[in-house]
Amino acid sequence: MNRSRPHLLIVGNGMATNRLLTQLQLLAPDSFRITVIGQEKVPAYNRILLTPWLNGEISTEELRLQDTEWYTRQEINMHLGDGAAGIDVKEKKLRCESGREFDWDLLVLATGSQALIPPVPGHDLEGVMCLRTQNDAAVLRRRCSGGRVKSEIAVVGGGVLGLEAACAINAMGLPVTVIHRDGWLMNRQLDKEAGEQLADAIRARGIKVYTGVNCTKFIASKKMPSVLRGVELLPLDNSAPDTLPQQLPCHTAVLAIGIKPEISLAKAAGLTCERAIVVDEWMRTSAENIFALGECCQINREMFGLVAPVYQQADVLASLLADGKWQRANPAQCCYKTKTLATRLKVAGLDVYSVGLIPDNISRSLIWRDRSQGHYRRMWLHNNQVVAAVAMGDTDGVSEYASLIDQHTQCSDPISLLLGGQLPADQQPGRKTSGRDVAA
Amino acid sequence: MSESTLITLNESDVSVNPAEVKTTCAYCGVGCGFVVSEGAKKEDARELQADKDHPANKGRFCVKGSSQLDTIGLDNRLLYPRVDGRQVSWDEALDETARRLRDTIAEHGPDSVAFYVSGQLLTEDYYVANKLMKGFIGSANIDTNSRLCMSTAVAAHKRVLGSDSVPGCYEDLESADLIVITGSNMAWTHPVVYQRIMAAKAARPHMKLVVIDPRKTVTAESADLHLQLKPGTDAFLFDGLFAHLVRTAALDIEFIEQCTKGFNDVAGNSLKRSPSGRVVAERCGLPEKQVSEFFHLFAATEKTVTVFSQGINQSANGVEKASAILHCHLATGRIGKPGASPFSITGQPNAMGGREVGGLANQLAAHMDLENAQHRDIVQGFWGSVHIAQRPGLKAVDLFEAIHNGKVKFVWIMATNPVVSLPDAGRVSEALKKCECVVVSDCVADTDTLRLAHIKLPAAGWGEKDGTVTNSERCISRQRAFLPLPADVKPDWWIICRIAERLGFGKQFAYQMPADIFIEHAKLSAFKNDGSRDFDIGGLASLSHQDYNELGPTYWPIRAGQSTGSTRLFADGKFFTDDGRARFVETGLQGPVIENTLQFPLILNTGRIRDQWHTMTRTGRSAKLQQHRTEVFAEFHPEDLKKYGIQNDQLVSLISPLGRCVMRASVNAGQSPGAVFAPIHWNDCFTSAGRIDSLIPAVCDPVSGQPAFKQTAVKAEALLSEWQALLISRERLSLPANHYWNYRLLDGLHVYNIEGKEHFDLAHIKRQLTDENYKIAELTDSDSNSARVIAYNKKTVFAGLFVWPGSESGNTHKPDENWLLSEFRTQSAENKFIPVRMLALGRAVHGNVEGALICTCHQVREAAIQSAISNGCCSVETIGQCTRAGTQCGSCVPELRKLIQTAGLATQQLPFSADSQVAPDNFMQEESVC
Repeated sequence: MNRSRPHLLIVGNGMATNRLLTQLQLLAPDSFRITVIGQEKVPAYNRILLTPWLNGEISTEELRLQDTEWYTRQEINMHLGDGAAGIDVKEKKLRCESGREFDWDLLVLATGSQALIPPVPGHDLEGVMCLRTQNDAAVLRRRCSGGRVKSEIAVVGGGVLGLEAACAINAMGLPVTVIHRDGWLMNRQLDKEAGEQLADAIRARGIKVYTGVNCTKFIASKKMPSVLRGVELLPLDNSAPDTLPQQLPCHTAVLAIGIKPEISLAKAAGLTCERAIVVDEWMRTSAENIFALGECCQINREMFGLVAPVYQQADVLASLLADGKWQRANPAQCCYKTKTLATRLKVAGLDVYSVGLIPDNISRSLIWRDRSQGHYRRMWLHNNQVVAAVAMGDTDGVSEYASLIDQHTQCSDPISLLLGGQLPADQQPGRKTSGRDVAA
Repeated sequence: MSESTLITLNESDVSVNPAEVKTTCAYCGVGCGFVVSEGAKKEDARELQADKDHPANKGRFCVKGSSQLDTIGLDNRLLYPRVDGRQVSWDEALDETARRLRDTIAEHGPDSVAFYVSGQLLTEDYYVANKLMKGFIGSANIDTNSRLCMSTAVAAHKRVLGSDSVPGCYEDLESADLIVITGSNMAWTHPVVYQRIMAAKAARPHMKLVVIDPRKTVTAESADLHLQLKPGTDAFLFDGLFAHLVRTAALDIEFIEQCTKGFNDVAGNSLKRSPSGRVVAERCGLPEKQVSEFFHLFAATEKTVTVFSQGINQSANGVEKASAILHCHLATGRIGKPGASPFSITGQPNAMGGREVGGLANQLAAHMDLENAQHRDIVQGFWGSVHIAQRPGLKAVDLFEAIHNGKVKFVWIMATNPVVSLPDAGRVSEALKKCECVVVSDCVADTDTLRLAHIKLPAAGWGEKDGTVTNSERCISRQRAFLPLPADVKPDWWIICRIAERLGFGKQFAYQMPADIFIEHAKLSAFKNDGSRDFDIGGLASLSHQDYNELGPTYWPIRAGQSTGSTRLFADGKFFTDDGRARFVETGLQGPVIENTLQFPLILNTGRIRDQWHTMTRTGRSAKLQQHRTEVFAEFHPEDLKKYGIQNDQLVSLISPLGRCVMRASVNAGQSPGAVFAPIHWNDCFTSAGRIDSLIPAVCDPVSGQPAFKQTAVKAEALLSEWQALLISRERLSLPANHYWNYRLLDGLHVYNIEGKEHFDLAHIKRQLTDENYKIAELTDSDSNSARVIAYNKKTVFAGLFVWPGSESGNTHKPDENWLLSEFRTQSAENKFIPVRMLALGRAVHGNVEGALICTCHQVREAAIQSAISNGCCSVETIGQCTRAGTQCGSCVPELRKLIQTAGLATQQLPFSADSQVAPDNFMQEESVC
């Protein structure tokens, strides 16, 4: 092995890292010595597919991002099941929990994020869990099988992840209840009407949905004080059902109320952090030769939860490293550019799409309702420019919208845009983006 | 009795429906012959072809006629008698009608009742109606809608010729060297006669065509000389012509001396009145050069036919105008000679038949006069009537006025729609609302007039009735039934005779079939005639029922013993006056009676459009015929649009002291500045405020009593609308009030174009749709002038409503109507449908608007023709070859020519060279199409 090559040390073995590795292999094969440090034992997997994996829709092989031979072929040194404990920026050294040390020429932090745990009594009981890692999913799978089938599973949080989880559990034939703090489901992506229609569609599958309800306490079992027996419910607004029980008995509570970037390592090392590790458009942190990308970083205050921008960051970083000009004030090649991204709920038979930021005061909004088919579409415009759109039940052609928002396309005929999913021929924008944008 | 008649009717029904039936058209006075043939197999559709053997059309067709089978469906048909809103049996309906008629007569006398009949009736129906009223009720209060189109010609004929006789025939139009058309847009109103002239002109290019019309109509566009005179100044022109003939001694002195009376006085006055062509030109607002060109042409051309129609007849001094025309022909001896005659062409299929039976209030029967005691004796004796009418009855306008002031308390309206067609139409509907008993016999279920009827009687329509009609050239043709009578429908003659029975005149109305009536009519015409009266069809008095059924086209007079009738009259110089001489009648000289004012600066002219007939009760049922002009409109000269701040395609109010209409403004450089044109067809069944006759004052010709439909002073105001809407539904829906709307029925799809200023009440429409239990999909927009509503269920999409902001026609939000209609049709045809969401979009995602439909026969749109032109087609026939446009009925040939000319590709001699190819061969191929 040629020692003269710079050593690239990557912390974290998620989707960001995987993308970075594949890109480097394309742009600069053999120009780095690469080591990847991963907390989880298992090889890199596609986090987005955890819920379908949970209920057996896809196999473990399908979950993998790479087969093991690939890493060997690339001579990538994989150090898994031993998370990073600390880094010394001056000495360019990294220490793992096991005590094992690594030095680096270039360090990449791709530590991702953690699930938010609400500061609620009992959140540490056995049975209160999040659905973040393959291990989480495996645990949940175990808790769902076996004898407990009769009793309830609670999902706390009615966002994309929570709903996907709830549907997966429901698909396994288990009774599940979604508890959502805000007035309607996916309130960050949908307007009220769409959120409520979504709740109806989900209830139609036999899932209980409580909106406007806070989960104030995880109640321990009397016999086994460390084990979850139920959750305590508190109505927050009138969207809560009148028949809301004070307690919901359940043996498992899945927390899906959000994520927070994993930045403890960077903070300890003294890198500039705000809510996440601060990097520039070339993924460079405040410290020389240290880079960060993915859910753990922020660029101009923007944070990341979807896979598309993370992949873009990986591509930017890969070409930066390939060019070897990362020390220049203004590297010539492409940098990260923020893009309008759409959110889709990935549940079979439940088509939900959302793009842009729904404004509070708008100059114009159009709604298409076809209730008997459960179709709903809405679009918001300002000065003849699309600013946001949602679609339920029927999302044909909606993928056009994101690029229109990005390009501030003037739209004199929003009706054909809303209904036809495209502008009349004379108003077609030059470039179109396509491909599915998915929550990570 | 009614039983037995019923049986014979059914029998005669059985005798109809052979594989091939020869009949005549139900529309204009040209009186074309048709052949209706059953499809090869029973399920095949019937076919309608032009009759190559009929002298009127010789195998030619126009688009209205050729679409006639579209109009015979049973939807919107009146199928059962109704009394005061109740469906009743015939016996009850007849008893009740007879009772109310009898009681009114008993209480208020015979003149308190009236019939208002129609040129749509067959001669036999007409004959019994007239006989019942004049001969047995004993009043002459029977008038007909022919009063609105022909009474002026009748009066002029009688004054000048001594009898109501059209001297010439269509062949004269083909053998003439000069044809003067005045007051007729023949290309649209009598297309087949126009085609014959064009064909003849193509075959004999030296033939000259002069058109006198204040509008540059499509007819005027094919003229060698178009005199676009000031509205209502025709009398000046023809008196000037007469003076010119006298001045230049272009006269037939011998004819004048031997066959006429009163020449010198009239000639003298005329010379004083019209001293020179220049004076005439000034009066008519014409270039002097054009006037003298016309005068010289007329003076120099022996074989001259002057065709006149509504433009002459429908004016406040129409009799004077028509007389002036007749004078010019008398003075030159050009009357009843091949290629030389005055020629009044009639509006309706049986206006002439009505005149022959005496259907007008001032006629008696068989061209005999009410005022003439000897005639009264002849008719009374023949009819064996107890009390015959002694004096003329009320003419149409006076009749409805008498209903309004309560003098007439019972009126029976047959086969016509006076609430739309009479002047001051608003007052007419007021009158009927006040009338104690309004009986209406009609073949359709809903007209503006039927809406006011107490008793509705279901009458047979075209294809069901059986009898005869007479066309403009005195040719009697059989109109035959090829359909059984549906439901409780009966022929008019049957209904009238049943009433006569109930009034106690069973003996005198005991006809078993139309043939019986016709033969009586023929006998009467010959009764004590001996050549003293023009109308004599004694030669047909001895027809057997079979002869009658097989009777071919026959000209009158055809006197006893003659086997064929005469196509021309007066060739011998003998006229039906006491001394046998024609009369020059001193008329004085009037200019236009209606003048525009500061407050009402525009002169309104009314008329027909190519593809519609009268009040659209039948043509309104043919999808094909809705496409030439899709919407009620008013045509303005570009300068006037500018002057009154109106955009082309914008809605306008036309306002006269009597009322207000709302129509689509349409620019037409062919209009005279200061003159606006609007069609007579639209009414409350088809648009929100389109009854143009509600603007027209009941100003009538003092002699003929014919109303002046052609000149009314009006003003025009642009209407600003905030939104437009399109509603397509599989059933007729009610619309929210206070908006403009225009309705069309297209292959079972009810199509409404709506436009307005105040907010459109969507709920009003949605309520009706949800009542029908359809699912609603809708688009709501924070812009309240924009919306979509689709009503559907598993099986069908029932309705679509599209509302978009703005009122300009080229609006980007506007849905593609043609695309939507085809989607609705495809769905009903193949039960295939695009997603409701895409339908709501209202257009193919990469839209295609093909432009206006030009060729109705072959459904060729303007876009296709434009592209043909841009591909080098520079003549009508080349366009025909590549698009088929104009190769069937030819009605659109003038429009094609216009498109070519505007495309700047037209060659100098094109207007006639085009016809020379188009005319003959496309008429040949006609039986192969439609």
